[in-house]
Amino acid sequence: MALNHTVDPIIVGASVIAIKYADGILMCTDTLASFGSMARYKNIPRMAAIGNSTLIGASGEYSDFQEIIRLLREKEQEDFIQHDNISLSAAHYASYLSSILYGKRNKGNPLYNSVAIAGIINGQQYLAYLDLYGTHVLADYVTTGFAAHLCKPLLGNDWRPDLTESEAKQLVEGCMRTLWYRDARASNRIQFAKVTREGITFEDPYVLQSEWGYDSYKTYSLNPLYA
Amino acid sequence: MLFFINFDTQRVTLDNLIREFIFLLNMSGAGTGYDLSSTTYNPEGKVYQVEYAMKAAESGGSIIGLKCKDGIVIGGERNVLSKMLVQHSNKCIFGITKNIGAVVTGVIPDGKAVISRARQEATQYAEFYGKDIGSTVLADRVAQYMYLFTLYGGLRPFGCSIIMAGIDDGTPKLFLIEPSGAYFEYFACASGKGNQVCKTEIDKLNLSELTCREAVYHIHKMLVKSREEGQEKRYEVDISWMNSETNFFLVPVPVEFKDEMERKAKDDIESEERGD
Repeated sequence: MALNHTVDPIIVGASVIAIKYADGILMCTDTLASFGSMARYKNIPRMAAIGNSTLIGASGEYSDFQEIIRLLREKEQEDFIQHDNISLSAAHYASYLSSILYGKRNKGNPLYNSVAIAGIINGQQYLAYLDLYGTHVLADYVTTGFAAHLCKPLLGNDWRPDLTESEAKQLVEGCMRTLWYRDARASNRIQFAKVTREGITFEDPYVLQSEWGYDSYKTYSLNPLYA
Repeated sequence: MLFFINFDTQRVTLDNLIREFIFLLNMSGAGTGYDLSSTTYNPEGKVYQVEYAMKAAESGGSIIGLKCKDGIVIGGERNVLSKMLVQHSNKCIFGITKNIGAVVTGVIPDGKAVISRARQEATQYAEFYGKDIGSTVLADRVAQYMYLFTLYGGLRPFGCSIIMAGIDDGTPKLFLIEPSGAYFEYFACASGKGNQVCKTEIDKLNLSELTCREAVYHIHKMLVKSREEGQEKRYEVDISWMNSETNFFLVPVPVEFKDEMERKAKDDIESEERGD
């Protein structure tokens, strides 16, 4: 097979975490896009709104994420101009996108992302995970990238369907802090967004509190791993 | 060949000369061969197929576009051909992008073909430049497309007129595109069957002070006035607008408000007539 650059991502984003809670869905990413191990773009959004009720976040190749946004927004406009007061839901966009992802994977030319799509459909939370193979699964909490390894167990322990917004935020922030400590491609600059029955809200990004002053961090020989 | 006159066998008689003279006098009229295709001018310098297309466009329901102080309103009426048609179906206003739309009169399927082309142009532009198309550019492209159909023998010019409304960088724009491919930018314009009446009514309005809400009332009034008297036809009126209330997206005017303005317009016209 000919050399295929599309399976060699260049500018990449790290984890996405999205969880259902009592009033909606909370999604969180850091705002970093890396070029290899270099922290290349430190303040870019990795979540986007499609229409009034669909939120999408992605890890992986950033340009492919931009293409996904373009495709979904094109669909959204196509739907909007019908002027029929009916709009596509998160489930529609997820299904459409999974078809695109699966189709491109079969051509050996995937869009290199793991995606979380969240929305409210008839008052119910909808949360889907999609990936570059065209996998399409629904879940109560979605983790992509390193978060699938480091944060899924944390969410498995502490997630409940009746979490309040502040509880959910606390839980996810804990996950993001874990990522910041242990994933070398993660950033401490994180952003929350939520979908509720009222619509989509993006919060301003902020820098996580973290503690690197432990003696074992500062002095190599004190680290129990290497003692 | 039945349709060819064989000049060789025709005798030069006074009778034939007079016939020839009358033929020459009328040679620019319909049915003289100058209207067979839009590749031929008539001796007056017009293209009959285009003139006919204009006529087709003028025979459709009235359509109106008004640029207002706070936004832009377009509207049109269409004949309801049967009682069995679903209410509010077959609308004559079409969205092209979120903040560009058009109202169509004349041969509706022709209009739909043009709208579909306009939508293609808009998405293609957005894909290419990563930026939404402006209505000025779009109107120009759509007009060029319609103009193309006036150039070839194998094509029929579109039998529809289109009023296109959009917002370019916050500025409302209004265009009327004709079957000839000519398009102009307006403060207010009208086309279709009652365009004359509508235009005289538009002249009475103070467009620089008119609000979108008032415009809905005036459009209803113009449409009622432009209807032919004594005809008990069924009509439906579509009106859409763009203003800060709608986030500057083109959306249909809420039905309750539209119906209220229609009732008010009809009542006012009735009392005006009683006053005379």
